Amino acid sequence: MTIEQRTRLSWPEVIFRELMAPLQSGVYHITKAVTGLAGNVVRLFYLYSENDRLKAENEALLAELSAAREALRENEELRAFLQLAKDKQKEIVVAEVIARSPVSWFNTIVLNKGATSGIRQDMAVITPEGVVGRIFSVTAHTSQAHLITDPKSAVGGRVQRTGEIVLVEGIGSPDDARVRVKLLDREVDLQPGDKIVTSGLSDIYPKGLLIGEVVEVHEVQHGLNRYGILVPAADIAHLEWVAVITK
Amino acid sequence: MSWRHITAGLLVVLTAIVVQTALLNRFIPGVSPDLLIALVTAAGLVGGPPRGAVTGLFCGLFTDLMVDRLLGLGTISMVAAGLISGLLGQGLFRENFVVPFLVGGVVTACRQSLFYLGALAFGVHIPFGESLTAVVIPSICYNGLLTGLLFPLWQRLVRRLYRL
Repeated sequence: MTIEQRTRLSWPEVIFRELMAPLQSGVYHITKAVTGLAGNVVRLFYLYSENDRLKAENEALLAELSAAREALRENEELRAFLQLAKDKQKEIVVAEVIARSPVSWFNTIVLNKGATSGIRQDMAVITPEGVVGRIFSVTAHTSQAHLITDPKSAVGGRVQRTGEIVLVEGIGSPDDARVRVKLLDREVDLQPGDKIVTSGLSDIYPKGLLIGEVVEVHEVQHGLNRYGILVPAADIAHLEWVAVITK
Repeated sequence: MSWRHITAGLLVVLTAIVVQTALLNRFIPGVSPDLLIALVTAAGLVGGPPRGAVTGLFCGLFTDLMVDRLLGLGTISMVAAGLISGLLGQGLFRENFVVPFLVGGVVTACRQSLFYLGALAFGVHIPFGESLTAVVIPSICYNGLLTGLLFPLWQRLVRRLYRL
């Protein structure tokens, strides 16, 4: 035992300290590494959960964004319907297409509005782009419409350029992309690019609604007869909302 | 068959019709795969002509109720589809995985031809060439594929419903 401050260490002290130093250093560095690793592991777990949370948040935000875009699109579509009613000075009922014909041979749609909304048989079904078809049958809360592409459909049309009368007939085109323009007179001047509008001669379709554009004109029976192929103005294959003209 | 099985069978058919009209036919432009044909074909293959015809009868009846013209044509063509599938199933080794794909296609071809001729007989004129390329051939491919893919599922369902 010594009380006074010493200037020199005794040899046991030196040896002990020298022996202990690598051990201390080793333990210190191992502990440091383990602590660091443990910290990293904890951080990793935290990062995983943070990542999961951010992923979920991102998905929720994307879903919200998608819903907002969808709502905006629907809003614009419905606004176009309101504008259409205003322009044509007609009363309309906007309905959603909830189903299509279970048979591929017929081109029909089912609407989510029926007699209680004022829909009756033989009312015209349109979109802001053009004519879609007519109501064929009605229940209290649904109605079924035959599209202009249906093989039983016939709409009186007028060539916008010349004012001549034609008949637009469905040919059962399953992709709803084409209808036939039947000429009532062989001499009718029909050319690709002509726009066909409703003639207004029937009680179903008001005058002047766009039906579509002629894309082809064919001659049959050695030139004795002619007909045109028209692409409907309304995107009939992808209908979501339609308007039924009630008055 | 108990009432429970009949109710379950009707629910399966109704669910298939809803999925068909509200989803498949709505979101797939043009011709879409036919769940009902796949079901009727499976019923015929697994249960033979009578069960195929009964399944076709209900599928056709419900389909007809949703198409407001040529009432009965859907039913007749579906019953025929079930019968044909049943007859083909008796003559073929149905455990072979290719069989449902082939029978689905053949049954679709028969059903579509019958429907086309029926529609023609009742004054609904649909151009033949266009029908063949735009309806018949695509639906044969679609339904053959769908029938083959859904066959294990429909087979289990049909076996449970008919207690086979």
